[in-house]
Amino acid sequence: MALLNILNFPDPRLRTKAKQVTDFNDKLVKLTDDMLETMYDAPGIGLAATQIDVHQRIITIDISEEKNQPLIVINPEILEKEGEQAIDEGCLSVPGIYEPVKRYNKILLKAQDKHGEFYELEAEDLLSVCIQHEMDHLEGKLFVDYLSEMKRNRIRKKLAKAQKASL
Amino acid sequence: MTTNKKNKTVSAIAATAWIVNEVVVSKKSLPDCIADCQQQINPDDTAKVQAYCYNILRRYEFYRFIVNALLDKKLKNKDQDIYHLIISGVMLLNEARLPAHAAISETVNVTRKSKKSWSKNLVNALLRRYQREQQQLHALAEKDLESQYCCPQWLLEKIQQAYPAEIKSNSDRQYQWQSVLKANMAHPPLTLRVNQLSHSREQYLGLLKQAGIEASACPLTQNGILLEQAVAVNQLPLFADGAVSVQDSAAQLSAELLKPQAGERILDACAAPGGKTMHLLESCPEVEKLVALDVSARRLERVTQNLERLAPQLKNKLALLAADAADINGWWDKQPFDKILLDAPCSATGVIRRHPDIKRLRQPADIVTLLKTQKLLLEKLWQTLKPGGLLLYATCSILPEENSEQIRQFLSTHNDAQSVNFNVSLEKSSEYGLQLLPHIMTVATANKGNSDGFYYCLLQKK
Repeated sequence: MALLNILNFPDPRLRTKAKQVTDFNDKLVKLTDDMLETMYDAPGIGLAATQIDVHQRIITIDISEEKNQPLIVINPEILEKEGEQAIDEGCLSVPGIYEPVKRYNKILLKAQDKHGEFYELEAEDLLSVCIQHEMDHLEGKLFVDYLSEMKRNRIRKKLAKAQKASL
Repeated sequence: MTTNKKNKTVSAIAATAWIVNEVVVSKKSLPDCIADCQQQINPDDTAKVQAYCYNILRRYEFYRFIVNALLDKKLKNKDQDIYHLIISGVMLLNEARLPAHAAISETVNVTRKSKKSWSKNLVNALLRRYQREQQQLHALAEKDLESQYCCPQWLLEKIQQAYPAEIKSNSDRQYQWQSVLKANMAHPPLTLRVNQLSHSREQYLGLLKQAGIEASACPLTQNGILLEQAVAVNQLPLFADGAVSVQDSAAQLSAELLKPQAGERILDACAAPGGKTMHLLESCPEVEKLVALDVSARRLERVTQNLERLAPQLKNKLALLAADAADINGWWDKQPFDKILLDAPCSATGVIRRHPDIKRLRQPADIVTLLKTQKLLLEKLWQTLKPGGLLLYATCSILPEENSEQIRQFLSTHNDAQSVNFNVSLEKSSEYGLQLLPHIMTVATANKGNSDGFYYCLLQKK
């Protein structure tokens, strides 16, 4: 396994729209393993392939405290949605920033696992928010896009400053 | 995606309001609710939050009266969290050493961060009105019995009925029930039991003196020590090495009354968390066997922890069994016991000063269930006692129906049972046992040792 490099906002590659996965092979299994390892290491609760500059519709998620319930979501589709909630979201591509974003409270997800098997999953609360957040990545969208222009600019400056400091 | 771990902590007053609301609405115990909230509390605030919660629950009826008087119309059921935030704010203004403007802004700030931002103006207005009308409101609260004694109506009536006697005192007329209810609102002392296997009481008092902790021997018991001021247990000399345990003086009487002797088989029927179990063992390590039962295996682990700290060398003397004591066919090996301690499940109305959440958690219907359980336990365990053997029935209740009445009934239906008289300090037990009451420490009551409310009756099998 290997740790992968995570792209940071405002990197334009984060704006790429991901393509459907069609080949379910060993390479894909290895990629999902690497993504999980990268996500746990970060640490984060969800990672979209877009964030590691792979533009395919692949997501890894684990919202458990013990980090022992990994979920692989490939070619996701939301079948049903209801309710509304806003929790503070953060993103591995926008480190250190947390802002509330309005999302559906409950969703019905249809997706494939790493072997291509289809499954459906009802998700609520944090899991539901996390799936929606990661699915946005696959469309080239970031959670900061939901914020006001002013807030987004302030975040951009803050991150640029942090990056400079770390160099 | 990531979640925000850093900003998860909430202010002390927000945590307080959440915890109190949870106790009142979900009827969960205060320690459990505090544990549920632990992660959201800044570690520096932990002691403060605890003190706030205890302050509110000790005087909940009083605060409820004030807030109800302040509110024009009742808040909806789903807004009980805001109700308890207002209660917390009034408590801050009333009891905390905080300037009034700080107390108000701390409380109002909680609404800014919550999803109920509509409540900001309400909370602000009510707290400011409380500030202005404090004297009038307190005078009104004095006239309401529930609020004056901070006790739910049903329990207040029971205590009034049980203790109507007048107390002779120089000053005002006072009745026993008033003294009990006032004691329930007071802060309890921290009482220790010295482990006689490691130190004598005098030796340990010496250690405390060296450590600069003010303490005195408890007049009620042989091994009890009263501390002037509560300290964290890890600051007590040799606590981890098992020199002392925290235990109220009334509870320390169980081993003193049962007096375990060498070679005896003893049963502790409702043992967890094991304070009394360990006391029995400390007072006579030469017993043949001490069987400690508890219905909850999880709570029995606390007994093991106590054993390991206090007397690991006596491991082979103690048999721990997770079982319902009443189900004697299930756990009893038909070897009768010389002595039995039945510290029965009870209303815990004698320890309200230590666990003020009891006033919120107990319902009148619970008492009926408890009476049945107590009766069943007495009946069943009596069968496991040797002829000539002793059973000590104990509760931390002050309600006669659970205590003297329970024993009166038992004696009237069991010809082979008789009550044994004993003296504790200056008090003498009657045929139907001895009731200890919590009281405010005064010169007149100093010899009683500032204990919790507790009941004991020693029964012998003919």
